[in-house]
Amino acid sequence: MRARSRSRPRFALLAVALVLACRGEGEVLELAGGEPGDGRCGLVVVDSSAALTVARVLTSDWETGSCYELTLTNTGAARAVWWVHLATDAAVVDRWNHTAADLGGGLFEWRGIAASNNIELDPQGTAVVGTCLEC
Amino acid sequence: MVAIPLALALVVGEPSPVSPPAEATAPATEPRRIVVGVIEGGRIDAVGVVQALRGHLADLGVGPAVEVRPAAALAEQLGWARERLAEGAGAVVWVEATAGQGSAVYLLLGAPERLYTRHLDTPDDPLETREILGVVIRGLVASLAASEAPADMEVVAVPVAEPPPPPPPPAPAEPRHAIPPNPPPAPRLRLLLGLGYVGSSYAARLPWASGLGLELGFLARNGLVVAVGGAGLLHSVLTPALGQQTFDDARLRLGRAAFTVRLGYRVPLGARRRVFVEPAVVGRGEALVWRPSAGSQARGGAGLRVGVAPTVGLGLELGRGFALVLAAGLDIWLRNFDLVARTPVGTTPLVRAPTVGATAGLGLAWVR
Repeated sequence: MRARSRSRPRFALLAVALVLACRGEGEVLELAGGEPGDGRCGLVVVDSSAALTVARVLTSDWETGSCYELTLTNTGAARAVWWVHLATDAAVVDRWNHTAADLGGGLFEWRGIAASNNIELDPQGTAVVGTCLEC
Repeated sequence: MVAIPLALALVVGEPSPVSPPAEATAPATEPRRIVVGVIEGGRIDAVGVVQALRGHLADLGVGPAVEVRPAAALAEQLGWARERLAEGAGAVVWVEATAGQGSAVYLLLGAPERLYTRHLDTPDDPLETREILGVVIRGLVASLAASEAPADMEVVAVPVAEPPPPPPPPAPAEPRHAIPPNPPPAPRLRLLLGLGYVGSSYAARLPWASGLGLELGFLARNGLVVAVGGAGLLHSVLTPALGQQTFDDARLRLGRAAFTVRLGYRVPLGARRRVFVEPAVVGRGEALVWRPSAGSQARGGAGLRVGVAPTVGLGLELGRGFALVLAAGLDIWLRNFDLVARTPVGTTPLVRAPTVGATAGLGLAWVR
């Protein structure tokens, strides 16, 4: 009897903590994207800037990780800044020729960098960017 | 006929009773002072009387002090003389000199009170009248100083002092039904109604929502306020965005139905108590509802968030139970709610509400 009465406040506190800890969310839209990729760690191209084509290649794959390279081509008629949204649930351990902004929930936005001279792409211009993931 | 009333107040040692004169054997008492009253506008002026009395009383060691008296009836002069006796004079003398009718000298002694008078055939000439009065008063002072009864004076029945006016009769007790009833004691709980503008923050991309709020509760006699309320808040149209991407085809409209439970305390300020502050703790709950705009690909949905808010209200009583109230609160959302986009690996937030927010209100409160 005593044990029960003691445990009641604990359960109540736990319940309150659980309720308060979780953050509610409402889904407004779905970003479907393409296939997750052939490697052990998935990398999905969700979306990209206008007139940009993205070709994904698995360059390395091992038991706990994968590396991918993306070839970006500006198919538009004007020089343009590019961006790509990629989703992954793996940890990024390496990246090249780009910078990535974490948008939350495993979604990243890749953009060009001045050091690689690929912030903007000429018409029909291409850039190769890549990352290695650990999953 | 010209009346020249002249009142002379002569203050000397207390003489013995008037009769029998032979009994007046008490040792002489040192004269103390003379007060002379002169009727304003009279033919005999105060200065002249003083000069005459000084000359006649010099060897008696009595110095006159002149007091101006208005012409008045004997009873009034007697009242004045009684006042001087009460102030410590042993005797008071005054004279009424009337043109063509001589003069009358009055003497008032106290304890027991005795009034004497003597008629003098004084001429109309002021100088001669002053001299005659001086001689008579000198004789009077001398006999009083020797504790002898005043010579050649008649005892006058002392007019009975007017009894003090009876105290006003007590106001007749008003009939019971005429007494205004005491105001009824303030009820322990009074109904509280509030209506007004409510504004509240949500997130960076949806910073502020405005709407109408309603509150119903009770105001206790001790100032405790317990109330529940509701408000409808509507945000402007949202165009979701993720990084560089804007989802123009996924516009939506977010509305919030807010519910509150307020526990506060009303503290009147100032002497007139027309201004009050109401610190309170508010429990907040919000139902969030969003709907896609016309042609939008966004999904509709609903959610809930819960929080608490320390608030403070500032009110101004307008009369008839109405008050203008301005309130502000700091919202702390214990369970918050985000709008998200689903990704192949999870969800990413489109609208992320911070834990801390703000609410403000301006409205009318009515207490009955």
